[in-house]
Amino acid sequence: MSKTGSSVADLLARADAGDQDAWNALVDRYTNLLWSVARAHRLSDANAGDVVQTTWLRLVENLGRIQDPERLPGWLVTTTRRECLRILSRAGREVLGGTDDAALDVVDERAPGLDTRLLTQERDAALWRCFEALSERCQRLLRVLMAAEAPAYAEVSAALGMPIGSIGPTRMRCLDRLRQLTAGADFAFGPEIEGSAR
Amino acid sequence: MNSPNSIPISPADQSLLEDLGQIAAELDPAPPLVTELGRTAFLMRRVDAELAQLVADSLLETAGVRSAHSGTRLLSFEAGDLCVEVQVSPVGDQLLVLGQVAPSPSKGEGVVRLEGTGGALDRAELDDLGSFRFDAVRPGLARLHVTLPDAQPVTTSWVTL
Repeated sequence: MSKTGSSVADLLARADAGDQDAWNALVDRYTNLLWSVARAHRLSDANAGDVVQTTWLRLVENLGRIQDPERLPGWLVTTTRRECLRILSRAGREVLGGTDDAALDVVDERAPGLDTRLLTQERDAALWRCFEALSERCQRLLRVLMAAEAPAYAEVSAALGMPIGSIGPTRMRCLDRLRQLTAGADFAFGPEIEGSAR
Repeated sequence: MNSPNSIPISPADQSLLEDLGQIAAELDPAPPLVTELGRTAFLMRRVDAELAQLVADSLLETAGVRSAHSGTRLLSFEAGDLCVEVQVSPVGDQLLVLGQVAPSPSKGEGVVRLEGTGGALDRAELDDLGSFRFDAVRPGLARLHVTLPDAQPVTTSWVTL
């Protein structure tokens, strides 16, 4: 699914041979995805940064051991998630099970600004506030799926510990809930969003 | 998004997901420092030592159990037949790291170095039982580098202590 540049297999091989530029290209390509995974576990900036750094250190030490370069995004996401769980476990938070759907009721109803020059940004901000009111399960799945370098669904399934058959339905349900929240937020969203909410 | 591995998605869902992706990239991108640390991770590469993979971590085994985080953490690393067991206990805001290399070196010689991302932190010699100890370790990313007589050096996986 890579849009441009060298293939992952090529970059991995070159990095394994000691090519820093190839390594940088891998880091540049996937850091946002890994950041998204960490943030989807609601980690702070500092913790999310630690988690992403740990994942890259893990890849460094495992260069040459990645059997299937196609699966690198899934390997990275899985490693990142495991580090997130360590941090959450240390913080004493319950991290397994539970969909905390009660959070769905928490809708930020701050009124949007009226400055039309900011309309797009305001709409985006409101949409994001609604997104953050979704359950953790929804946020985790959607943040991985929305990333530009999102892994294949089989990898998402393994990375997030969700049965692959449930990813499609969960995705749809989470997006539907997001539309309900945006409708309740009383703000002018794009026609494609409003339309489907009715 | 039309890879063979994808699951059919409605145009409206696809559009909403793309909107969210753009907002996320704008509102909450990875900070430049995080990318920079990812790039410099490459400098920590050790090709002269065998990797001892993290095979067990009590922190993960107890995930989801409330209040299980208090106290001691146990970590196990393995490289072939060599096993490094580590016990990490909080002492104030620092850590006591006790470990054992098994099988213990027959000659009773061996050195363990504690390394952080900034370089070497501490050094300990193995005793007759292959045990080692680091006092007053600061929490953070670290790994152990084990040098035994007549054997290839071993470096453990990175862990956040």
